[in-house]
Amino acid sequence: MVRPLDSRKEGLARYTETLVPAISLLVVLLPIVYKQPNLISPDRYYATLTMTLAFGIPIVLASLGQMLAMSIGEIDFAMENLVSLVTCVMGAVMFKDPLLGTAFLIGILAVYMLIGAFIHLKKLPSIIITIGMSFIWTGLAITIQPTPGGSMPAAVNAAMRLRPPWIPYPIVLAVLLALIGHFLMFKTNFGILARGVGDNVKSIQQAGHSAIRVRIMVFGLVGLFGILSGVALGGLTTSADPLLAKNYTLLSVAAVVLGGGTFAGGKVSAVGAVFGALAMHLVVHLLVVLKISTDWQAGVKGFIILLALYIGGFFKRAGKIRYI
Amino acid sequence: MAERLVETKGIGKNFGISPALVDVSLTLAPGECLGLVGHNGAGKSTLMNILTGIFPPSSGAFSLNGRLQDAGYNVRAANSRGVWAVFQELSLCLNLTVAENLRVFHPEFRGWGWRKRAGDAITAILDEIFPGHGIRPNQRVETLNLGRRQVVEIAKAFAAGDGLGLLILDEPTSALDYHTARQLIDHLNRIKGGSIGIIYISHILDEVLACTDRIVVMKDGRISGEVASRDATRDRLIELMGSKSASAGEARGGDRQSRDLSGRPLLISPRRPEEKGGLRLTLREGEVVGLAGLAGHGQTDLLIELFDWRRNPDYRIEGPLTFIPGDRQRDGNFPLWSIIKNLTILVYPRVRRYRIIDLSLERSVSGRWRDSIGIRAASLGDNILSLSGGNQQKVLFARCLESAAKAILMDDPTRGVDVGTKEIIYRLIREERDRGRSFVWYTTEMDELKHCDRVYVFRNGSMVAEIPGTEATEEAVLRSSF
Repeated sequence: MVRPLDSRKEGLARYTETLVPAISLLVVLLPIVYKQPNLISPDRYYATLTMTLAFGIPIVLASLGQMLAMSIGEIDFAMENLVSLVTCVMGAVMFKDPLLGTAFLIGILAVYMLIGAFIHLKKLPSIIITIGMSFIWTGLAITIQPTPGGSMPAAVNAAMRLRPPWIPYPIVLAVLLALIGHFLMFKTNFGILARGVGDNVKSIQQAGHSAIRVRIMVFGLVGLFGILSGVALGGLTTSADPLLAKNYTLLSVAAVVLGGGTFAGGKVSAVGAVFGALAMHLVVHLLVVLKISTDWQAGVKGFIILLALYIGGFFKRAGKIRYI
Repeated sequence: MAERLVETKGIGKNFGISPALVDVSLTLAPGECLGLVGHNGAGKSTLMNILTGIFPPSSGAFSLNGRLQDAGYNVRAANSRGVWAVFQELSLCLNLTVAENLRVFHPEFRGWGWRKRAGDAITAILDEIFPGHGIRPNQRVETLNLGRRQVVEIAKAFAAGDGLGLLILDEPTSALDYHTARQLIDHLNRIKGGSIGIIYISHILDEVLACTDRIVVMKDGRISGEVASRDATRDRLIELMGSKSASAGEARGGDRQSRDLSGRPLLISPRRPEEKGGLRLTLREGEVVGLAGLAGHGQTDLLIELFDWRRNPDYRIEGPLTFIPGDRQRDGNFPLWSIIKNLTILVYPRVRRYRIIDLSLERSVSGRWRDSIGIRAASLGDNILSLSGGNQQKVLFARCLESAAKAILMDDPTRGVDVGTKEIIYRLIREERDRGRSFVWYTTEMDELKHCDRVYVFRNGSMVAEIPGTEATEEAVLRSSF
């Protein structure tokens, strides 16, 4: 029998979905490599890649958090404020009083789980709640650590400075996080239910699953990834700053979309989000390498991001059926 | 009958004041295949929703395997007691793969290797029922066309395996082609007489006759007849589906009179002569044209096509037109606006003074409508959603009638509206018709066809019959729609 058209379309969709973010990463990476051949030189690659990619890791973590929120059709607009707050908690509280610091982080996690429950019970859009939360997080951060400074716990600094043999540490971390994210979303019961809630809550509930539990767990994990991102960023900069993670919210959303995710319908890709996050991070680096004047950097960066998203969207051909 | 899989006793269900089911009692034995037919709104789907635990009955009770079902009966409980249903609206998550969907619904696919087990299970079922289906278990449902999604939905119900006691198929073949539908019917005939009881609902009477043992006919929320399938014929079923209220309609048909409109100018006419595929609609000034037939057979599509009146490829249309949508909440209301703003949106150029919206003009236009059709609101400045459904519908009517539109397209405008409001709507349509306004009126209520000058009957996306309003009885429409 003739292979149905559907399967071919499916094959193509899968193919482009993982390929597009990988290609956009390459497109950003190649000019950087051209300008900085050290990135591929056998004796210098390790140090240069480590340096170039290190600050991509907190963005990868934030993007995985955002991907979880978007998998159930929600969004976290407080991501950058949360990440910055966590650096302040680490730098100002954890350093002096590990117990209090830990309690603080657990409190943040609990608040995130409450947000998930609240969204379910009050049927409020997460964009409203998280924008409200963003002011609270920043307020807290400024109270704890009004100006950049503080000191990170030695363990955190050390954890971000591991030097595995042969393969640069940020690459090891990125691969590991992509695998964890993929496992979570596609191999666990939780992942299937989360994506199911993103597409069709009614079916999930009729199949006897608790939607509020799924939403609480998802937002708990959003908070967890945000916290990890803050710890990683704090460990890299070794200082606390209430505005440190500027732009992380929108960068993480853009990373998820570039990685093949959508705002509704429960379509996300963890591997894609990791690629997307690294591409977003490298765009900034590219402008520096190309010696674009700082006056123009913000604009050019925005233009490149729009271009990448446009090209990504161009390749996305979902098998849509028109209902009237 | 010693063994009874399902037994309902006097089940009734009310939605608001209107009864959807009245005193329905039926039984089903294991291994039996029961057909359920009836026109839209006859109560078939309501009954199935009760059996599958989507909502409880308002009165009466039912038992499964001799066990009476209590108030806590819900979809989950229904599934665990072996009741599985395939509805017209699919329950699959489109972004999940076929195997993942199976796991969402069947908790037994857990632990290591579930993906392979679920995939093997669904493939085995698909191979058995629909050989040559071409569906892979790791394929996302959104990449399947509507027919294949329906096939997966059916297979999902069968995946309950030995746990499957009662299988409800509500229009399972509506999205299937002839060949695939045949495969399903052959399979049902193969498993008949086993342990599974089947309730098969379809508008395609030949299918029902081909695979059932017994056919129950429903009409206006009641069981209007029951026949053994081998003795039944299409004509007999159609008769049972229509007879009662058709004669009632005849008795009340005093206001049916044919009006000669042939001299009036044409508002809608086909650009090309009729094709062999189906009829083409015409509409004259002051005419009310009804669109009938089974729900979802292309009536709304035609209305939407006509609404695009300036660039319509098929029809020459004297505009302007306006549209009363079927889904009031989604397409009709501006949910954040007041009643006044909702009512005057189409005529806002006329409630302006010096190009600025004049609140007192708005108020006077809305006030005029409130008095003439009785919009029951504390204040016209209140939010539109503070009104009852019927009153919201009145506002939508007022919006369209206030406009300069020559013709008004209506997508089942009295759906879910109380009797009083319906009478007001009928009166408005008559008055406006006499003033020269025209209407294209899709209705799912046979009774409303008596207000139409002509009726087009739809089947499978095209118009198959044109009936003068005086002859548009329920029976005539049913005969053309099957």
